[in-house]
Amino acid sequence: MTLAIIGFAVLLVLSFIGFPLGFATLAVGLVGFAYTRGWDWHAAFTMMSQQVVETGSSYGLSVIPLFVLMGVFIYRSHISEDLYRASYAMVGRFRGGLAQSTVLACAGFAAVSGSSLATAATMAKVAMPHMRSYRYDDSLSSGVISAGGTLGIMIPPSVPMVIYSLVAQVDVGQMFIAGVVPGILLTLLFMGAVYASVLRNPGSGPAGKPMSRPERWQAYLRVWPVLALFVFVLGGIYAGAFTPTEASGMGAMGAALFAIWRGHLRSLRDLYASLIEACKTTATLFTVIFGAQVFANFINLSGLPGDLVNIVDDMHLSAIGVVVAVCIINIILGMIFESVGLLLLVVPVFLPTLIQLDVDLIWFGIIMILVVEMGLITPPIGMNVFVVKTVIPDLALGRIFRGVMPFVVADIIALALILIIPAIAVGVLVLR
Amino acid sequence: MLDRIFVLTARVLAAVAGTALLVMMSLTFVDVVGRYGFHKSIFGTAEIVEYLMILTIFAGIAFVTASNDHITITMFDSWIERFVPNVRRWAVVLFSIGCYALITWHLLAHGIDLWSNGMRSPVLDLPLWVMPAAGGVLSAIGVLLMLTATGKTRGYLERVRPELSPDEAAPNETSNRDFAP
Repeated sequence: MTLAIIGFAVLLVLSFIGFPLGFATLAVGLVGFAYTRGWDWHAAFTMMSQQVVETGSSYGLSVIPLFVLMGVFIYRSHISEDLYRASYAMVGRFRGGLAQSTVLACAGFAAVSGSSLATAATMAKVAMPHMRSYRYDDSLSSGVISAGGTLGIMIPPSVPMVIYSLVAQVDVGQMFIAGVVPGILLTLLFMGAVYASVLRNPGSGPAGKPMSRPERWQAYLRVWPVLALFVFVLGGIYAGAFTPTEASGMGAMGAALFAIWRGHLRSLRDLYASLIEACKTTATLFTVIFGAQVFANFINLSGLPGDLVNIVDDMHLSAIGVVVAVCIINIILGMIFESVGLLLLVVPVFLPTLIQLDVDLIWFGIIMILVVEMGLITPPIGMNVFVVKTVIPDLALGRIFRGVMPFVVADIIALALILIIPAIAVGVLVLR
Repeated sequence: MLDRIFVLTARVLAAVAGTALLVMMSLTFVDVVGRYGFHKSIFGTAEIVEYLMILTIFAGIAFVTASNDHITITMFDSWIERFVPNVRRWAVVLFSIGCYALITWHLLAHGIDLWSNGMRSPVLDLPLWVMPAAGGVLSAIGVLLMLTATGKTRGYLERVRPELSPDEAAPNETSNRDFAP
């Protein structure tokens, strides 16, 4: 156990210095593995190359590049403005309506993009000018965009869900389906947070100009393909028509056709740029995955997961007690680590304990995704907040962090609800 | 001359990664449509996708590593930069080159191992050594690319990002950071 703790400490130091997370985890894992085997470097290198090739050629993991590609195509289809308009048509005329519209538009974009940062970056460009023109409080506007962006990983398809499935060895399709209701719940809670903020400070979010009925229908009609794509991908998995890998390929092709239909992606250069964008994101993700796989082998060999099982046994901790403890640890680490690294490094450590306690790993996975998602908006490292700050440079970081606080509360309420009522996540799987 | 070779190599890697991903998407699509529309799917799709994954990932990593576009924790960046900017920059670059070269070397060694064993894939009977070998060769090109970038920029690898960006049509529209989950 001591060895594993030293390993984690060294990894933290290397990461804080600024070494790439993937290489740092790989190096620490490799040295730790060799040391644990009595400086058997041959075994360590063999393990590393096998892990890298097996993971890099995994058919199941091809969902990652394909869903990333789907997100890139959706981004390039410039659908965000239409999504925002359709959401505005629905709730814009109410007090705080533009912020509510932002939450809905983020949920819509998230449902087909699967990326928190892309959702936040896109919506910051689209929604912020509208909210500023209606004199919305900057804190509320930037907060709702940062928080709304996190729906990108909560609403499937979501890359962190795929990564959790890899680590916990659970079915990706089941994870996606289990994420739908919590995603909707979180969207509603975020809308509730906007409502509460505006109730407290009525001047912070005035009502927007109402749209006529024909205008509203026109706005809705422009976004039906997004809904269709989401239903097609998730519905296909739910009905058992496609495997998640096939769904990702179909989704990417659907998104490409959608982008072409909307007048984008019509040149080879556009297609090429989209492909490279997706390849680069895939490469950064897989570098971290490779490193984490090697590191996980070292952690397993160090005996830490087994020791944790014994500690939990000795302390007679209940399953829910352990899950809450893991949540607290992840919330703290989530303030520093980014989502993928957190899932890959922390979850394997606790997995044997959770299996021993008979915890439903799909339910736990949804809880982990929610916790990881909170890390995107909590200080000091809130990636979504940084993205919004980059798009709106005149806003002070402190103001954005203040603005996300009601949404952090909404996240905590969602977490508590899913902890108390697991059916919110896994209920839909029983109905299947 | 070196600059032209650098950009050309980067473009070849980009073409390899992008084409592999495009084929992966098309293959999956055609496979599913064939299955439901014509009761006929493509034989060995999963295995072909496995080989394409290697090309997509390792050509992509070559790109990302050469411009130090990896996921990092930036919490203490400004603090460290203030005190030991050069030490940190070179430590990160040399560490990355070292790790990348190590992976490359062992991928090639793994490929040679599999080649001597003569192992083949179960469905399409393709040689398995091709996977680590392709990963190794692409990574070796990536290491060379990174060394060149290091020499060109004196360790400021992020300066080569514009050269490695294929998106001349829409610069600054997105970055791969935007699509990180």
